[in-house]
Amino acid sequence: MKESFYNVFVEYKDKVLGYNTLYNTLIVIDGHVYPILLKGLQNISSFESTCGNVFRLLKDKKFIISDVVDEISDAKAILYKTNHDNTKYRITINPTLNCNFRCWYCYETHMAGTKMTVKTMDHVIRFIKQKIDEDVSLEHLCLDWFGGEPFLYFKDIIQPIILEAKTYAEKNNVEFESSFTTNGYLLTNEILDFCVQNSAKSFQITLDGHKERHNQVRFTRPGANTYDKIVQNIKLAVIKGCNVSVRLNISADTNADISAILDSFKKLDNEQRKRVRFSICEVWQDRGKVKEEIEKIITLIRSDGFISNIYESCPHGIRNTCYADKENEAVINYDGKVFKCTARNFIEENKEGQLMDNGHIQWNTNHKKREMASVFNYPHCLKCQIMPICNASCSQQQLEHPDSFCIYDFDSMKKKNFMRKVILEKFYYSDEGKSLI
Amino acid sequence: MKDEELKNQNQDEEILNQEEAEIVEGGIREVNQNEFQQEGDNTGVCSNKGIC
Repeated sequence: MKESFYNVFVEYKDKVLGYNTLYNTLIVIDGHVYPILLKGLQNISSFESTCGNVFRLLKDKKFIISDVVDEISDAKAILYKTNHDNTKYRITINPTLNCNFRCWYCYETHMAGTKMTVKTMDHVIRFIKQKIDEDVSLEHLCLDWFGGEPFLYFKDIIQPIILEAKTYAEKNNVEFESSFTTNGYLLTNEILDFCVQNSAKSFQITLDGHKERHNQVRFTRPGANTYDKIVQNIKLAVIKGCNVSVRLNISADTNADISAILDSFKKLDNEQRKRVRFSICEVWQDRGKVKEEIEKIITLIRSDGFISNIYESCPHGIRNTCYADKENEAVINYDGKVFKCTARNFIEENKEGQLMDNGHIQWNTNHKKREMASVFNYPHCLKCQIMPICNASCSQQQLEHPDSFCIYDFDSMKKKNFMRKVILEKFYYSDEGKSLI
Repeated sequence: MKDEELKNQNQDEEILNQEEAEIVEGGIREVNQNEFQQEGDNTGVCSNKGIC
Protein backbone atom coordinates (compact mmCIF):
# COMPACT_ATOMS: atom_id res chain seq x y z
CA MET A 1 0.00 0.00 0.00
CA LYS A 2 1.09 3.61 -0.53
CA GLU A 3 -0.11 7.11 0.15
CA SER A 4 -1.97 8.81 -2.66
CA PHE A 5 0.04 11.57 -4.36
CA TYR A 6 -3.10 13.70 -4.25
CA ASN A 7 -3.54 13.93 -0.46
CA VAL A 8 -3.49 17.57 0.60
CA PHE A 9 -3.81 18.94 4.12
CA VAL A 10 -4.53 22.42 5.41
CA GLU A 11 -4.50 23.66 8.96
CA TYR A 12 -7.72 25.26 10.10
CA LYS A 13 -8.27 26.42 13.66
CA ASP A 14 -7.44 23.39 15.87
CA LYS A 15 -7.95 20.91 13.04
CA VAL A 16 -6.18 19.72 9.94
CA LEU A 17 -8.49 19.27 6.97
CA GLY A 18 -7.54 16.52 4.55
CA TYR A 19 -8.68 16.35 0.95
CA ASN A 20 -7.79 13.94 -1.82
CA THR A 21 -7.97 15.99 -5.00
CA LEU A 22 -8.12 12.93 -7.26
CA TYR A 23 -10.71 10.81 -5.48
CA ASN A 24 -12.63 13.80 -4.09
CA THR A 25 -12.71 12.61 -0.47
CA LEU A 26 -12.49 14.47 2.81
CA ILE A 27 -11.27 13.72 6.33
CA VAL A 28 -10.81 15.87 9.39
CA ILE A 29 -7.92 15.37 11.80
CA ASP A 30 -7.51 16.83 15.28
CA GLY A 31 -4.52 19.16 15.13
CA HIS A 32 -2.44 17.33 17.75
CA VAL A 33 -3.02 14.01 15.97
CA TYR A 34 -1.69 15.13 12.58
CA PRO A 35 2.07 14.87 13.33
CA ILE A 36 1.54 11.43 14.88
CA LEU A 37 -0.41 10.35 11.80
CA LEU A 38 2.43 11.51 9.54
CA LYS A 39 4.89 9.55 11.63
CA GLY A 40 2.71 6.45 11.49
CA LEU A 41 2.34 6.65 7.73
CA GLN A 42 6.11 6.33 7.30
CA ASN A 43 5.51 2.59 7.47
CA ILE A 44 2.09 1.76 6.15
CA SER A 45 2.12 -1.98 6.89
CA SER A 46 3.01 -1.26 10.51
CA PHE A 47 0.34 1.46 10.57
CA GLU A 48 -2.24 -1.08 9.41
CA SER A 49 -1.48 -3.36 12.35
CA THR A 50 -1.37 -0.61 15.01
CA CYS A 51 -4.20 1.67 13.79
CA GLY A 52 -6.56 -0.71 12.00
CA ASN A 53 -9.68 1.48 12.10
CA VAL A 54 -7.93 4.60 10.80
CA PHE A 55 -6.09 2.53 8.20
CA ARG A 56 -9.42 1.23 6.91
CA LEU A 57 -10.87 4.77 6.88
CA LEU A 58 -7.88 6.12 4.93
CA LYS A 59 -8.09 3.18 2.54
CA ASP A 60 -11.82 3.66 2.11
CA LYS A 61 -11.27 7.36 1.38
CA LYS A 62 -8.34 6.45 -0.91
CA PHE A 63 -5.79 8.46 1.05
CA ILE A 64 -4.02 5.09 1.13
CA ILE A 65 -4.11 3.09 -2.10
CA SER A 66 -2.70 -0.13 -3.48
CA ASP A 67 0.88 -0.06 -4.76
CA VAL A 68 -0.32 -1.09 -8.20
CA VAL A 69 -2.69 1.86 -8.66
CA ASP A 70 -1.60 4.23 -11.42
CA GLU A 71 -3.22 7.48 -10.34
CA ILE A 72 -2.65 9.24 -13.66
CA SER A 73 -4.56 6.42 -15.38
CA ASP A 74 -7.37 6.86 -12.86
CA ALA A 75 -7.39 10.61 -13.54
CA LYS A 76 -7.58 10.01 -17.28
CA ALA A 77 -10.49 7.61 -16.81
CA ILE A 78 -12.37 10.12 -14.62
CA LEU A 79 -11.82 12.94 -17.12
CA TYR A 80 -12.93 10.77 -20.03
CA LYS A 81 -16.12 9.79 -18.20
CA THR A 82 -16.86 13.43 -17.38
CA ASN A 83 -16.39 14.61 -20.96
CA HIS A 84 -18.18 11.72 -22.64
CA ASP A 85 -21.36 11.42 -20.62
CA ASN A 86 -23.83 10.28 -23.26
CA THR A 87 -26.81 10.62 -20.95
CA LYS A 88 -26.77 14.42 -21.27
CA TYR A 89 -26.73 16.92 -24.12
CA ARG A 90 -26.45 20.65 -23.67
CA ILE A 91 -27.23 23.09 -26.46
CA THR A 92 -26.48 26.75 -25.95
CA ILE A 93 -28.44 28.97 -28.32
CA ASN A 94 -27.67 32.58 -29.15
CA PRO A 95 -30.92 33.99 -30.63
CA THR A 96 -29.04 37.25 -31.24
CA LEU A 97 -25.70 38.90 -30.52
CA ASN A 98 -27.41 42.21 -29.93
CA CYS A 99 -27.93 43.49 -26.41
CA ASN A 100 -29.97 46.24 -24.83
CA PHE A 101 -27.11 46.96 -22.40
CA ARG A 102 -23.67 48.42 -22.96
CA CYS A 103 -21.42 47.13 -20.14
CA TRP A 104 -17.78 48.23 -20.34
CA TYR A 105 -16.35 44.82 -19.45
CA CYS A 106 -18.30 42.70 -21.91
CA TYR A 107 -15.99 40.71 -24.16
CA GLU A 108 -18.56 40.31 -26.89
CA THR A 109 -18.88 42.48 -29.97
CA HIS A 110 -22.55 43.45 -30.03
CA MET A 111 -24.14 43.26 -33.42
CA ALA A 112 -27.29 45.27 -33.94
CA GLY A 113 -29.89 43.64 -36.15
CA THR A 114 -28.64 40.11 -35.65
CA LYS A 115 -31.51 37.65 -35.18
CA MET A 116 -31.91 33.92 -35.76
CA THR A 117 -34.02 33.37 -38.88
CA VAL A 118 -37.00 31.02 -39.09
CA LYS A 119 -34.90 28.80 -41.36
CA THR A 120 -32.09 28.49 -38.78
CA MET A 121 -34.68 27.89 -36.05
CA ASP A 122 -35.98 25.01 -38.12
CA HIS A 123 -32.44 23.60 -38.37
CA VAL A 124 -32.04 23.89 -34.60
CA ILE A 125 -35.27 21.95 -34.06
CA ARG A 126 -34.12 19.30 -36.53
CA PHE A 127 -30.82 19.02 -34.68
CA ILE A 128 -32.58 18.56 -31.34
CA LYS A 129 -34.97 15.93 -32.71
CA GLN A 130 -32.13 14.01 -34.35
CA LYS A 131 -30.16 14.02 -31.11
CA ILE A 132 -33.15 12.58 -29.30
CA ASP A 133 -33.79 10.01 -32.04
CA GLU A 134 -30.19 8.91 -32.53
CA ASP A 135 -28.66 9.00 -29.04
CA VAL A 136 -30.29 6.04 -27.38
CA SER A 137 -28.43 6.77 -24.11
CA LEU A 138 -29.79 10.31 -23.89
CA GLU A 139 -31.71 10.94 -20.67
CA HIS A 140 -31.42 14.67 -20.21
CA LEU A 141 -31.56 17.61 -22.64
CA CYS A 142 -30.71 21.16 -21.59
CA LEU A 143 -31.29 24.22 -23.74
CA ASP A 144 -29.21 27.08 -22.48
CA TRP A 145 -30.02 30.56 -23.80
CA PHE A 146 -27.21 33.03 -24.22
CA GLY A 147 -26.35 35.88 -26.56
CA GLY A 148 -26.45 38.91 -26.71
CA GLU A 149 -29.58 39.33 -24.68
CA PRO A 150 -31.75 36.29 -25.41
CA PHE A 151 -34.99 37.89 -24.21
CA LEU A 152 -34.88 40.43 -27.02
CA TYR A 153 -36.60 37.64 -28.96
CA PHE A 154 -38.65 35.67 -26.46
CA LYS A 155 -41.82 35.25 -28.54
CA ASP A 156 -40.11 34.90 -31.89
CA ILE A 157 -37.37 32.44 -30.95
CA ILE A 158 -37.22 31.21 -27.34
CA GLN A 159 -40.87 30.30 -26.90
CA PRO A 160 -41.36 28.25 -30.09
CA ILE A 161 -38.06 26.36 -29.74
CA ILE A 162 -38.68 25.50 -26.08
CA LEU A 163 -42.21 24.30 -26.79
CA GLU A 164 -41.15 22.08 -29.66
CA ALA A 165 -38.03 20.72 -27.93
CA LYS A 166 -39.80 20.02 -24.64
CA THR A 167 -42.71 18.26 -26.30
CA TYR A 168 -40.45 16.06 -28.41
CA ALA A 169 -38.09 15.29 -25.52
CA GLU A 170 -40.84 14.29 -23.13
CA LYS A 171 -42.59 12.22 -25.80
CA ASN A 172 -39.33 10.24 -26.00
CA ASN A 173 -38.78 10.00 -22.23
CA VAL A 174 -35.93 12.50 -22.21
CA GLU A 175 -35.94 14.91 -19.30
CA PHE A 176 -35.98 18.52 -20.51
CA GLU A 177 -34.78 21.71 -18.88
CA SER A 178 -33.82 25.15 -20.05
CA SER A 179 -31.74 27.94 -18.53
CA PHE A 180 -30.94 31.54 -19.35
CA THR A 181 -28.02 33.90 -19.08
CA THR A 182 -29.73 37.28 -19.22
CA ASN A 183 -29.45 40.79 -17.87
CA GLY A 184 -32.96 40.28 -16.46
CA TYR A 185 -34.26 43.64 -17.66
CA LEU A 186 -36.83 42.28 -20.09
CA LEU A 187 -38.39 39.61 -17.87
CA THR A 188 -42.14 39.95 -17.34
CA ASN A 189 -44.90 38.08 -15.54
CA GLU A 190 -45.95 36.50 -18.81
CA ILE A 191 -42.43 35.31 -19.69
CA LEU A 192 -41.80 33.91 -16.23
CA ASP A 193 -45.12 32.07 -16.16
CA PHE A 194 -44.19 30.42 -19.45
CA CYS A 195 -40.74 29.52 -18.12
CA VAL A 196 -42.11 27.97 -14.93
CA GLN A 197 -44.64 25.93 -16.90
CA ASN A 198 -41.98 24.69 -19.32
CA SER A 199 -39.08 23.54 -17.12
CA ALA A 200 -37.12 26.69 -17.86
CA LYS A 201 -36.51 27.75 -14.30
CA SER A 202 -32.81 28.58 -14.08
CA PHE A 203 -31.52 32.09 -14.59
CA GLN A 204 -28.12 33.72 -14.34
CA ILE A 205 -28.54 37.45 -13.90
CA THR A 206 -25.79 39.95 -13.19
CA LEU A 207 -25.63 42.84 -10.74
CA ASP A 208 -22.61 45.15 -10.82
CA GLY A 209 -22.70 46.28 -7.20
CA HIS A 210 -25.28 48.28 -5.33
CA LYS A 211 -27.80 50.50 -7.06
CA GLU A 212 -25.64 53.54 -7.74
CA ARG A 213 -22.64 51.54 -8.90
CA HIS A 214 -24.71 49.12 -10.97
CA ASN A 215 -26.49 51.94 -12.77
CA GLN A 216 -23.15 53.52 -13.68
CA VAL A 217 -21.92 50.30 -15.27
CA ARG A 218 -25.01 48.62 -16.58
CA PHE A 219 -27.32 50.84 -18.51
CA THR A 220 -29.57 50.91 -21.52
CA ARG A 221 -28.89 54.64 -21.90
CA PRO A 222 -26.85 56.99 -19.66
CA GLY A 223 -28.68 57.83 -16.42
CA ALA A 224 -31.15 54.95 -16.65
CA ASN A 225 -32.05 53.07 -13.47
CA THR A 226 -31.79 49.42 -14.46
CA TYR A 227 -30.99 48.19 -10.93
CA ASP A 228 -34.49 48.51 -9.52
CA LYS A 229 -36.09 46.80 -12.47
CA ILE A 230 -33.60 43.92 -12.51
CA VAL A 231 -33.90 43.35 -8.75
CA GLN A 232 -37.68 43.42 -9.04
CA ASN A 233 -37.52 40.82 -11.84
CA ILE A 234 -35.13 38.58 -9.89
CA LYS A 235 -37.51 38.60 -6.94
CA LEU A 236 -40.48 37.94 -9.21
CA ALA A 237 -38.69 34.94 -10.75
CA VAL A 238 -37.77 33.56 -7.33
CA ILE A 239 -41.28 34.02 -5.94
CA LYS A 240 -42.64 32.11 -8.94
CA GLY A 241 -40.31 29.20 -8.14
CA CYS A 242 -37.29 29.85 -10.38
CA ASN A 243 -33.66 29.46 -9.30
CA VAL A 244 -31.61 32.58 -9.87
CA SER A 245 -27.85 32.73 -9.79
CA VAL A 246 -27.17 36.40 -9.13
CA ARG A 247 -23.74 37.04 -10.48
CA LEU A 248 -22.06 39.88 -8.61
CA ASN A 249 -19.32 41.24 -10.82
CA ILE A 250 -16.62 42.80 -8.68
CA SER A 251 -14.00 45.07 -10.22
CA ALA A 252 -11.10 46.92 -8.59
CA ASP A 253 -12.98 50.19 -8.30
CA THR A 254 -16.24 48.58 -7.18
CA ASN A 255 -17.08 49.48 -3.64
CA ALA A 256 -19.75 46.84 -3.61
CA ASP A 257 -22.03 47.72 -0.77
CA ILE A 258 -23.22 44.21 -0.22
CA SER A 259 -25.48 45.16 2.68
CA ALA A 260 -27.39 47.48 0.39
CA ILE A 261 -27.72 44.73 -2.21
CA LEU A 262 -28.93 42.20 0.35
CA ASP A 263 -31.35 44.82 1.64
CA SER A 264 -32.98 44.76 -1.80
CA PHE A 265 -33.84 41.09 -1.21
CA LYS A 266 -34.79 41.22 2.47
CA LYS A 267 -38.49 40.57 1.85
CA LEU A 268 -37.79 37.11 0.47
CA ASP A 269 -38.65 34.39 2.96
CA ASN A 270 -36.26 31.58 3.93
CA GLU A 271 -37.52 29.17 1.26
CA GLN A 272 -37.26 31.82 -1.45
CA ARG A 273 -33.75 32.74 -0.31
CA LYS A 274 -32.69 29.15 -0.99
CA ARG A 275 -33.44 29.78 -4.66
CA VAL A 276 -31.13 32.80 -4.87
CA ARG A 277 -27.44 32.19 -5.12
CA PHE A 278 -24.98 35.06 -5.14
CA SER A 279 -22.10 34.04 -7.35
CA ILE A 280 -19.10 36.29 -6.79
CA CYS A 281 -16.92 36.94 -9.85
CA GLU A 282 -14.02 39.23 -10.51
CA VAL A 283 -14.40 40.87 -13.92
CA TRP A 284 -11.64 39.44 -16.04
CA GLN A 285 -9.86 42.75 -16.55
CA ASP A 286 -9.31 43.08 -12.78
CA ARG A 287 -8.68 39.46 -11.82
CA GLY A 288 -6.53 39.06 -8.72
CA LYS A 289 -6.92 42.66 -7.52
CA VAL A 290 -9.97 42.27 -5.28
CA LYS A 291 -9.42 39.01 -3.38
CA GLU A 292 -9.84 40.40 0.12
CA GLU A 293 -12.99 42.26 -0.78
CA ILE A 294 -14.50 39.06 -2.16
CA GLU A 295 -13.87 37.12 1.05
CA LYS A 296 -15.64 39.81 3.08
CA ILE A 297 -18.57 39.80 0.67
CA ILE A 298 -18.97 36.00 0.87
CA THR A 299 -18.98 36.08 4.67
CA LEU A 300 -21.59 38.83 4.75
CA ILE A 301 -23.91 37.10 2.30
CA ARG A 302 -23.76 33.79 4.14
CA SER A 303 -24.26 35.39 7.52
CA ASP A 304 -27.49 36.87 6.15
CA GLY A 305 -28.84 33.42 5.28
CA PHE A 306 -28.29 33.54 1.52
CA ILE A 307 -26.32 31.04 -0.56
CA SER A 308 -23.12 32.33 -2.04
CA ASN A 309 -20.32 30.82 -4.04
CA ILE A 310 -16.98 31.72 -5.50
CA TYR A 311 -15.01 29.98 -8.23
CA GLU A 312 -13.34 27.78 -5.63
CA SER A 313 -16.73 26.48 -4.45
CA CYS A 314 -16.91 24.39 -7.59
CA PRO A 315 -13.76 24.84 -9.68
CA HIS A 316 -13.13 23.30 -13.04
CA GLY A 317 -11.52 19.91 -12.63
CA ILE A 318 -11.55 16.43 -14.06
CA ARG A 319 -14.95 15.78 -12.43
CA ASN A 320 -16.39 19.17 -13.30
CA THR A 321 -15.14 20.28 -16.69
CA CYS A 322 -16.34 23.31 -18.58
CA TYR A 323 -19.22 22.55 -20.94
CA ALA A 324 -16.90 23.45 -23.82
CA ASP A 325 -14.77 20.40 -22.97
CA LYS A 326 -17.68 18.01 -23.21
CA GLU A 327 -18.43 15.96 -26.28
CA ASN A 328 -22.17 16.41 -25.88
CA GLU A 329 -22.36 20.16 -26.08
CA ALA A 330 -22.75 22.69 -28.85
CA VAL A 331 -23.19 26.45 -28.98
CA ILE A 332 -25.41 27.41 -31.91
CA ASN A 333 -25.14 31.02 -32.96
CA TYR A 334 -28.01 33.02 -34.47
CA ASP A 335 -26.53 32.47 -37.95
CA GLY A 336 -26.12 28.69 -37.63
CA LYS A 337 -22.41 28.82 -36.92
CA VAL A 338 -21.42 26.41 -34.19
CA PHE A 339 -19.00 27.11 -31.36
CA LYS A 340 -17.96 25.37 -28.16
CA CYS A 341 -16.82 28.16 -25.86
CA THR A 342 -19.10 31.07 -24.87
CA ALA A 343 -16.26 33.12 -23.39
CA ARG A 344 -14.84 34.20 -26.72
CA ASN A 345 -16.25 36.26 -29.56
CA PHE A 346 -18.53 34.43 -31.94
CA ILE A 347 -16.41 35.15 -35.00
CA GLU A 348 -15.41 33.07 -38.02
CA GLU A 349 -11.94 32.44 -36.60
CA ASN A 350 -13.42 30.73 -33.52
CA LYS A 351 -16.09 28.78 -35.37
CA GLU A 352 -15.93 25.00 -34.89
CA GLY A 353 -18.80 23.86 -37.05
CA GLN A 354 -21.85 24.70 -39.11
CA LEU A 355 -25.44 23.68 -38.55
CA MET A 356 -26.55 22.19 -41.87
CA ASP A 357 -29.97 22.23 -43.53
CA ASN A 358 -30.51 18.59 -42.56
CA GLY A 359 -30.02 19.46 -38.88
CA HIS A 360 -26.58 17.90 -38.55
CA ILE A 361 -23.49 19.75 -37.38
CA GLN A 362 -20.52 19.65 -39.71
CA TRP A 363 -17.52 20.08 -37.40
CA ASN A 364 -14.30 21.68 -38.72
CA THR A 365 -10.58 21.40 -37.94
CA ASN A 366 -10.85 23.85 -34.99
CA HIS A 367 -13.07 21.28 -33.33
CA LYS A 368 -10.61 18.49 -34.05
CA LYS A 369 -7.91 20.57 -32.34
CA ARG A 370 -10.12 21.04 -29.28
CA GLU A 371 -10.68 17.31 -29.05
CA MET A 372 -6.90 16.84 -28.88
CA ALA A 373 -6.46 19.41 -26.10
CA SER A 374 -5.93 17.92 -22.65
CA VAL A 375 -4.45 18.70 -19.28
CA PHE A 376 -2.42 15.51 -19.72
CA ASN A 377 -0.49 17.14 -22.57
CA TYR A 378 1.28 19.36 -20.00
CA PRO A 379 4.16 17.46 -18.31
CA HIS A 380 4.09 19.86 -15.33
CA CYS A 381 0.41 19.07 -14.68
CA LEU A 382 1.25 15.38 -14.34
CA LYS A 383 3.36 16.28 -11.33
CA CYS A 384 0.93 18.74 -9.77
CA GLN A 385 -1.29 17.85 -6.80
CA ILE A 386 -4.05 20.26 -7.85
CA MET A 387 -4.35 18.91 -11.40
CA PRO A 388 -7.62 17.03 -10.63
CA ILE A 389 -9.26 20.22 -9.31
CA CYS A 390 -7.73 22.50 -11.93
CA ASN A 391 -7.70 20.60 -15.24
CA ALA A 392 -5.53 23.43 -16.64
CA SER A 393 -8.76 25.44 -16.62
CA CYS A 394 -10.48 24.29 -19.81
CA SER A 395 -9.99 23.19 -23.40
CA GLN A 396 -10.10 26.83 -24.54
CA GLN A 397 -7.08 27.78 -22.44
CA GLN A 398 -5.31 24.58 -23.50
CA LEU A 399 -5.93 25.44 -27.17
CA GLU A 400 -4.61 28.96 -26.70
CA HIS A 401 -1.51 27.76 -24.81
CA PRO A 402 -0.43 24.54 -26.55
CA ASP A 403 3.10 24.41 -25.12
CA SER A 404 2.80 25.43 -21.51
CA PHE A 405 0.12 26.85 -19.27
CA CYS A 406 -0.71 27.24 -15.59
CA ILE A 407 -3.64 29.29 -14.31
CA TYR A 408 -1.56 29.96 -11.21
CA ASP A 409 1.55 31.08 -13.13
CA PHE A 410 3.48 28.02 -11.82
CA ASP A 411 3.47 29.84 -8.47
CA SER A 412 3.30 27.38 -5.57
CA MET A 413 1.90 30.03 -3.22
CA LYS A 414 -0.97 30.81 -5.59
CA LYS A 415 -1.68 27.09 -5.92
CA LYS A 416 -1.62 26.71 -2.15
CA ASN A 417 -4.06 29.58 -1.70
CA PHE A 418 -6.37 28.09 -4.31
CA MET A 419 -6.19 24.66 -2.70
CA ARG A 420 -6.93 26.09 0.74
CA LYS A 421 -10.01 27.91 -0.56
CA VAL A 422 -11.25 24.80 -2.36
CA ILE A 423 -10.87 22.68 0.77
CA LEU A 424 -12.58 25.24 2.99
CA GLU A 425 -15.46 25.42 0.51
CA LYS A 426 -15.69 21.61 0.43
CA PHE A 427 -15.98 21.60 4.19
CA TYR A 428 -18.43 24.49 4.21
CA TYR A 429 -20.73 22.49 1.95
CA SER A 430 -20.46 19.27 3.94
CA ASP A 431 -22.75 18.46 6.84
CA GLU A 432 -19.98 17.53 9.26
CA GLY A 433 -17.67 20.31 8.12
CA LYS A 434 -20.13 23.18 8.18
CA SER A 435 -19.83 23.50 11.94
CA LEU A 436 -16.04 23.81 11.61
CA ILE A 437 -15.91 26.57 9.01
CA MET B 1 22.44 -6.58 4.69
CA LYS B 2 20.65 -6.67 1.37
CA ASP B 3 18.21 -3.86 0.56
CA GLU B 4 15.28 -6.28 0.48
CA GLU B 5 16.07 -7.65 3.94
CA LEU B 6 16.45 -4.13 5.32
CA LYS B 7 13.08 -3.16 3.89
CA ASN B 8 11.40 -6.20 5.44
CA GLN B 9 12.98 -5.47 8.80
CA ASN B 10 11.72 -1.85 8.70
CA GLN B 11 8.23 -2.99 7.82
CA ASP B 12 8.16 -5.19 10.89
CA GLU B 13 8.99 -2.28 13.18
CA GLU B 14 6.14 -0.64 15.07
CA ILE B 15 6.39 3.03 14.16
CA LEU B 16 3.76 4.14 16.68
CA ASN B 17 3.62 3.01 20.30
CA GLN B 18 0.35 1.97 21.90
CA GLU B 19 -0.43 5.42 23.29
CA GLU B 20 0.19 7.13 19.93
CA ALA B 21 -1.91 4.54 18.12
CA GLU B 22 -4.83 5.25 20.47
CA ILE B 23 -4.49 9.00 19.88
CA VAL B 24 -4.58 8.46 16.10
CA GLU B 25 -7.59 6.12 16.33
CA GLY B 26 -9.56 8.75 18.24
CA GLY B 27 -8.57 11.82 16.24
CA ILE B 28 -9.49 11.24 12.59
CA ARG B 29 -13.00 11.28 11.15
CA GLU B 30 -14.53 10.99 7.71
CA VAL B 31 -16.48 13.88 6.20
CA ASN B 32 -19.19 13.28 3.62
CA GLN B 33 -19.85 15.90 0.99
CA ASN B 34 -23.43 16.87 0.30
CA GLU B 35 -25.17 16.92 -3.05
CA PHE B 36 -24.72 20.61 -3.75
CA GLN B 37 -20.98 20.28 -3.78
CA GLN B 38 -20.90 17.05 -5.72
CA GLU B 39 -23.27 18.23 -8.38
CA GLY B 40 -21.65 21.60 -8.70
CA ASP B 41 -23.81 24.39 -10.03
CA ASN B 42 -27.37 23.66 -8.98
CA THR B 43 -29.03 26.23 -11.19
CA GLY B 44 -28.02 24.60 -14.44
CA VAL B 45 -26.15 27.74 -15.44
CA CYS B 46 -22.38 27.69 -15.26
CA SER B 47 -21.19 30.35 -12.88
CA ASN B 48 -17.92 30.58 -14.80
CA LYS B 49 -19.57 31.54 -18.04
CA GLY B 50 -17.75 34.36 -19.71
CA ILE B 51 -14.79 34.55 -17.35
CA CYS B 52 -12.61 31.75 -18.66
